[in-house]
Amino acid sequence: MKSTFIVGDKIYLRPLDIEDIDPFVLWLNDEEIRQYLMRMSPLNKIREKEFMENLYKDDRNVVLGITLKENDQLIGNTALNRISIPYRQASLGIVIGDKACWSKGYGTEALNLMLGHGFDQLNLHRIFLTVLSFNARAIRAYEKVGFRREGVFREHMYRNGKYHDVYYMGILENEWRERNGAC
Amino acid sequence: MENPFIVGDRIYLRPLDMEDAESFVPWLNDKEIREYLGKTSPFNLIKEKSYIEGLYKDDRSVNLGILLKENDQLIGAIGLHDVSIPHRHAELGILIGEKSCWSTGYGTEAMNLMLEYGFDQLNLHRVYLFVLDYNPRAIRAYEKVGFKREVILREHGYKDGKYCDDYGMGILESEWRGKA
Repeated sequence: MKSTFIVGDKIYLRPLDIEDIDPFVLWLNDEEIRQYLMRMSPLNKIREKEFMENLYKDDRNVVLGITLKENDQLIGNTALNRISIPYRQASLGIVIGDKACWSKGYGTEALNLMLGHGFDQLNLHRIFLTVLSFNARAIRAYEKVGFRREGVFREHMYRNGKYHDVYYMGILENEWRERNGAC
Repeated sequence: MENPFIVGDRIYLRPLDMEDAESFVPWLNDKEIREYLGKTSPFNLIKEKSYIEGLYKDDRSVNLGILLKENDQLIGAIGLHDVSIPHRHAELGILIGEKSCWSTGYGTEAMNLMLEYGFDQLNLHRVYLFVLDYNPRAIRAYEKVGFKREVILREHGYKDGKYCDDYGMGILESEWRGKA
């Protein structure tokens, strides 16, 4: 293992660095991946390098790479963004870029690690996210870790020739603790 | 009227300029107003001027002052923000800073003008907004112009020692046209 930040069972989360640029540029331009993302502009190494250079400058965003423990392979990232002090909330994002790693439970494990970090270390009260209605695999994973659907922004985004609903999902600190046996 | 951009019945909307900065600073610091806006940071003239300095540089947001036709008094502002090209949606925000103008229908008129501009001129498909649950006057006004409640972000805001819900509301082009 290289530098670690949060260590799980099959994966660990670690800070991203300049040498991680290439896989992200490849993943975030991929048509299949980018249809699920909120942002879908073209991405090059210049923009991604800029993004990396600005990481960890303040404590409003925590972005971490998802890495397999068995071989240190980087497979994606997950983040808590726009952490708000008075409201003790943050929005969650995740991308599993390596498609061979889809549907293996790595994303679910990463979500659980990130929620644990948000609630147990950052002392958040609430974590929320938005997801496109046709991203069924992601919705299942979010529900599995305890997110509840809080509403639907009707016809909010346009993809592949038509408008799609966007779901808001959220999980509260007490819901997280109930599921994870608070001591 | 000075420099009108959209003219209504009793009010008109016009671009904001540097000399308007002084009106907004006390409004944005007022406890009641900033709680409705969900803002907790102090506001000064420097910050407001730099905000106004940045207006109208691109077409991703349209923010206009709300003025009374009878005496050209600036009473607030209304805007469409994060106008998205592919999704043809935008977020609506409104502030009536002049409290003597609350519950007079000016806000509703301003919203109707802005929605008409959004759907008929900017060719939007959808307009949405967020409002905190302790602002029933605003919620009624939004419902009156046709917004529907779509989302309840549970315990998303915080005021006076406790968490409160944040509502997401939206109106589609078809609903707006059905109503018009």
